Amino acid sequence: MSIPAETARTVPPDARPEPQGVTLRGLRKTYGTAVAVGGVDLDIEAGRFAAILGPSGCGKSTVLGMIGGFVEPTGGEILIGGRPIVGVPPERRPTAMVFQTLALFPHLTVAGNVAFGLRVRGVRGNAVAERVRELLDLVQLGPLAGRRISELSGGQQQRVAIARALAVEPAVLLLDEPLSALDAQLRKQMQIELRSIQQRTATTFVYVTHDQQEAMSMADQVVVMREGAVEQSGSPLEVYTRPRTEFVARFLGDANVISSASASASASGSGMALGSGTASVSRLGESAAIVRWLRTEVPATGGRWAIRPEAVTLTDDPGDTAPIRGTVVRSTYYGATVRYEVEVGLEEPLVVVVAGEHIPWPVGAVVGVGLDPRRVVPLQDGPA
Amino acid sequence: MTTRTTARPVRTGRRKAGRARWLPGALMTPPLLLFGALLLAVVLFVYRAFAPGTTGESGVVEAVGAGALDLFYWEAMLRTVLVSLGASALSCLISLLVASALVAVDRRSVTAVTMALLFSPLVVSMAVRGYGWLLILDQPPVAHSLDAAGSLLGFLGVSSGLLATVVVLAHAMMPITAFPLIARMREIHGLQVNRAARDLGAGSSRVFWRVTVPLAAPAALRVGALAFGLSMGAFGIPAIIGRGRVQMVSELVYQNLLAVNWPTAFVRLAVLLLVTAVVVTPLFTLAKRLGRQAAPRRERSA
Repeated sequence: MSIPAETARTVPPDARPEPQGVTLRGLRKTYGTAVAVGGVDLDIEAGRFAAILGPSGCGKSTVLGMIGGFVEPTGGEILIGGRPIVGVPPERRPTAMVFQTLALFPHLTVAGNVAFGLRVRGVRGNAVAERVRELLDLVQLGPLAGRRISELSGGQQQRVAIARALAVEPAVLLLDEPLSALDAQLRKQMQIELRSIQQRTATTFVYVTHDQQEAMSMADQVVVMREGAVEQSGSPLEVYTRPRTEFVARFLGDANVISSASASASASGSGMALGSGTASVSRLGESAAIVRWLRTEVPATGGRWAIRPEAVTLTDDPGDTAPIRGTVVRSTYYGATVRYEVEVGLEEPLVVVVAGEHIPWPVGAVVGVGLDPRRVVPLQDGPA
Repeated sequence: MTTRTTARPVRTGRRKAGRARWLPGALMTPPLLLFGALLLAVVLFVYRAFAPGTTGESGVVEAVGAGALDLFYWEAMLRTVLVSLGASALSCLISLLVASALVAVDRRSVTAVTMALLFSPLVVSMAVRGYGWLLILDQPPVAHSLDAAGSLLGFLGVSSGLLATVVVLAHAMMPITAFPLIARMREIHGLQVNRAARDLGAGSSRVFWRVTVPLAAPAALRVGALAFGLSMGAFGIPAIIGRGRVQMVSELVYQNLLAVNWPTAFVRLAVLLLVTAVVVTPLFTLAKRLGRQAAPRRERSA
């Protein structure tokens, strides 16, 4: 017997559904010969806030669309709470989506928007009013229940969209860059509110964004995608401090990427790469020093390392004793931090961020460059 | 020595400025002449209608006294309103369905063929369309269906000929109603509200009636009002399809004009215009009100 679409997700008022995890197995989507998503494997635990992060066109919104049922996968499996849902129409999935455009119903009031999902599920009368009030209180829009959507600010509309999606008590809430249209200040405020709502409702959130700061500040789990595949998945701390690939290292903040392989390949073993470009060594002795140090202290099979700018320390080196030395070629003051570019024998200088008050090194100063082996990350792949 | 700066723009040439002045006027001349001629025709018509008649009184007063607005006229008016309402409503409904389908299918070839079909009533002569429709309507299954529907609605004074007129007139109105509604439906599709409604658990029909129709309603009311106004003046199609049994007000007016009875034609036309305005004005007002409510979201900082 088939379940009527509009009652499939109706939940008794006193029984909140348990959050459910999302599992993707070999998920693929192709459009003709173009591969939008090419075999994604991913596990998102129940009740967690997962952020899918990646540049435009990496397939993150397509993955979200496939979870929501709006995009039919070419292959692979999607499991929600252990149950396969490929082929199930969107209205029967235990998911709800907050769209990038928000997609609020402009002909309905704030309360009407939130009540929409409840009414199509056959919930009537006081139960609807009570649930709407509860949700509008959750998103702090109680006094605006009777307003039209066009009478709200961007942030308020955003909260209505969240309340509307939460009204149907989804096991998984899907959010497709819902903050992208907001200004920077409001976006920060909404990030905090979203995180707070997720923690209070304990719903599994799958949040798509191309903003790495947004993903890092809100999520329990960050999933970095590139060209239709998952590059790395883990906690924000893990992904930031232990990036597996150069792409992840670069996508999540600044990173110095040094390659000894290209060093040996160019200029008779005197070449090196910083960032995405291969560089020849300008001062063989100093560059050899940093590569020697890296090879000794942080052995990497691929011969590539990522070093965050804040993981490098600079010291005065009057006695010329530091194992790695460099020359300051540029310094930029940012208030809380100072960004130095230090020439260490590469074509491009090493970027170093020093926090806290200190007497800044002038351009031309010779400094000792300190590296902590625990904060140098050996990379697995070739150039991004 | 002090120098003064001025915000006034520097003139590059008087000739250029002069041309800028007379060019808009020149461009407006042909339409002004056309509308002027039309206005003159109306003035002449009114003058002849109000000219003293045989009794020495104004022709219009005489025409009313002689039964220009008799029961026969009001029956024709009721028929005209019913046919126009039916045709505009049917045309809007079909246009809404076609627009929904086009947005859902979203294939260039299908859109091109559909657009050509919708546009065709404008390029095929009314007589050809009318007699073509007669061939279809005379086919036994179609004729029987219309007869059955006519007898079902007979108590309302609706006949099979009247129903056929409604259908054919709706077809004629399709270019008026379909193109704006297709554009509106594309806007609605862009808002992703249909997708959101489905995501919240609504089935296809509920999405159509609770989301698509309310959002398309202002545009539908506007084009419906326009189609209604045009249908109120329809003359050829009712004459052909109704085979002379579906007499509309415009046909009565035509007969009056053929008989050079200016006052009666004027009175009947004036009432036709009045009735059209009485129906169309609330439709436009409602469309405006609903349009304000269904306006897309505005970005405002908090």
